Amino acid sequence: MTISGKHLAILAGIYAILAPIPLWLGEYFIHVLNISFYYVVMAASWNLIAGYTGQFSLAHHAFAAMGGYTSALLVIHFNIPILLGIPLGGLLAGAVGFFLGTLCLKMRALYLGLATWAFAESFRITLSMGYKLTRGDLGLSTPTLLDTGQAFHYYYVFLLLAIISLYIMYRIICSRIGYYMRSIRDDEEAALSMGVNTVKWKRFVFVISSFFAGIAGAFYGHYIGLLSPVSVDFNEMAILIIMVITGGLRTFAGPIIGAVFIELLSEVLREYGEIRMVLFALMVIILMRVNRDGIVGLGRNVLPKIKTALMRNGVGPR
Amino acid sequence: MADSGIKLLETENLTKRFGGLTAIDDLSLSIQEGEIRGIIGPNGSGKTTLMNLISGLYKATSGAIYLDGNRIDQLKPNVRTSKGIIRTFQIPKVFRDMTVLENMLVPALSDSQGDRYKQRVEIVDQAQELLQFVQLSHMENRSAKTLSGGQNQLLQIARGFMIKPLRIYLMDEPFAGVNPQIKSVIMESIKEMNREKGITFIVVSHEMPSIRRLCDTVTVIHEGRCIAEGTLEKVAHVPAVIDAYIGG
Ligand SMILES: Nc1ncnc2c1ncn2[C@@H]1O[C@H](COP(=O)(O)OP(=O)(O)OP(=O)(O)O)[C@@H](O)[C@H]1O
Ligand SMILES: [Mg+2]
Repeated sequence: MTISGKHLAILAGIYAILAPIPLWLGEYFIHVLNISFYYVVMAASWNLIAGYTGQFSLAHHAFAAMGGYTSALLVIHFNIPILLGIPLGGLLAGAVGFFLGTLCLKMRALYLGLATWAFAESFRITLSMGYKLTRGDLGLSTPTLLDTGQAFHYYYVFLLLAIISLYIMYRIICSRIGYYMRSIRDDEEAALSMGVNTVKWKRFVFVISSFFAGIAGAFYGHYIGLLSPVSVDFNEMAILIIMVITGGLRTFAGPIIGAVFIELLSEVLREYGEIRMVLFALMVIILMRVNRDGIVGLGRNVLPKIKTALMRNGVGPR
Repeated sequence: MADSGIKLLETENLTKRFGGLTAIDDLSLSIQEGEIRGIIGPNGSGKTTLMNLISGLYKATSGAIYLDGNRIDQLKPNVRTSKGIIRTFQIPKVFRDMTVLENMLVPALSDSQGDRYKQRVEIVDQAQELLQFVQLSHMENRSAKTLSGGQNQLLQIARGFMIKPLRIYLMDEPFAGVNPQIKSVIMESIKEMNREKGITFIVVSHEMPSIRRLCDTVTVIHEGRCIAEGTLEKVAHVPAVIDAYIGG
C-alpha cells in the first residue's frame, strides 16, 4: 500500500482539526472522547466483516480482549516493551481470527452468528477460569502506555490510532478487495462463479478485522490499566452493533458517527444505568424499520430535501 | 459431424447423486469449440445440476470433466472461471447492493483475471461497452436491486462477458420470464459473441423457437441421462424424447 501526498495532506488536515479539541475540555470529557475513538476503531472494523462482507460475527469484542490480554501478559511476564506487545496482541487476534474464519467458512448467517457467539462466550469463561494467569474476575492490572495517567496525553494516542486504522480500512474498501467483500455479501455463489476466491477473502476479512480489534483492545488495556472478563460480556458486542446500525451499516462514515454518538449519549444518560440498553435497543428497532442506513442514510435522504425546500423558497443558491 | 472439430469440453460418465436421487446419471457429453449447444429436457431432468457440475459449484459423485483434454473436475469454481468457464444462473444472481457498473467490475477485478486487464480505466471502458451492448447503459449507476427481472438477466449475462479469456459460456434458462425485446437482445448477444469472438455456448432452455434459431445441435436430457442428440428437428421425432415430454 502506498500513500499519496494528497492523502497524507488530508490525514494531516484531519489531525490538525481534531488535535486542539482537548484544549477546551475537561479531563473527564477527554477521557470520554478517548473511549469513543477506541469504539470508532472497533465499530469500523466490525463493519468490515459484518457490513461489507455480510459475515455477522458476534465475537468482535472477544478479539479486542484477546489483544488486550496478550499484550498485557507479554509485557508483565516477558518484560517486552508495550509498543511491541500491542502489535503482538493484534497479530494473535488476527491469527485466531484466521482459525475462527476457517471454521465458519461454510456457515450461513444465523449459524455463523451462533458459532462466533459461542466462541466469545467460551473465551470469556476461559478468562475467568484461568485466574492463575489472568487473575479471573478480579481483573488483570495492566501496565499503562504513558507514565502519566492524564487522558489529555492519551487523546493523541487514540486519535492517531483511529486515523491510521480508518485510513487503512478505507483503502481496503476502495480496493479490489472491497469489491470482493461486497460481492460475497450480496451473493456468495455468484461471486465464486465470477472468479472471486471467496474462501481466501472471507478469511482475509476475518483476519484483518480481528487484527484491528486486537490492536484497539491492546491500546485500551494499556490506557485503562485494568482488563477483565466483563469486556467479553455480550453487552459489549451489542453496543458495537448498536453503534454501527445507528450510524449506518455498510457505510464508511456510519460506524464513526455511530460510535461517537452512542458513546457520548451513554455518558449523558449514565445515571439511567442499564436502562440505556433498552433505549438503544428501541432505537435500533426503529431505525431498522424506518431507515436501514442509520444516521448516514438519514443525512443522505434528508439533506437534499432541505436543500430543495430552501431553493424553492428562494433561500439557497440558485 | 460431432467428431470433426476440436473438443473443447467433455464430460465422461458424469454422475451426481443427492442421497438416493441420481440427478445426473453416467452422462458423457462432448462440446466442440465454437459450438452453440442447446440442452433441453423436462423439469427436474438434471439440466441445472449439469451446469453446477461443469462450473464447479457441485462436486461430481463420479466421472470426469475435461477442458481442452485436461481434467478440471477437481478445480474450485473460481479457478474454472479463470480457465474461461463462465455461467449464468436460472434465477438471475446479481450483486443487489452494488451498482450495475460495479456488478460488471467484479469479474474483471477478481482473482481469476490476474493482470489480464491492465488498468481500471480499461475495465470500466469494457464494462460500459458491454452495458451498451445489452442496452443497460442508462442504468449504469443504479443499484442492481432496482432492476426488473429481465434486466437482471441482461446484467448477469453481460457481467459474464467481462471474463478474459472466455472459452465457454453456460447459460441456464436465459429466456425464461423476459419480454420479447430483451429476449432478442440476448439472442443477438449470444450470436454475435459466438461469431465475433468464437465463444462456445451451452444454452439450457425450454424455449424451443429460440433454441431452434441458435443451436445446430441439441442434447436432450431426461432423468440425468442423454436420451437424444442432433438437430432439434431430428430429436423432436425420437420416440424416447416424445415419451419424456409427454411424461412416460
Ligand atoms: N442441491 C440439491 N439437493 C438435492 N436435490 C437436488 C439438488 N439440486 C437438484 N436436485 C434434484 O435433482 C434433480 C434435477 O434437478 P435440476 O435442477 O438439475 O433439474 P432441471 O432440469 O434444471 O429442472 P428445471 O427445468 O425445473 O430447471 C431434481 O429432482 C432436483 O430435485
Ligand atoms: Mg434448472
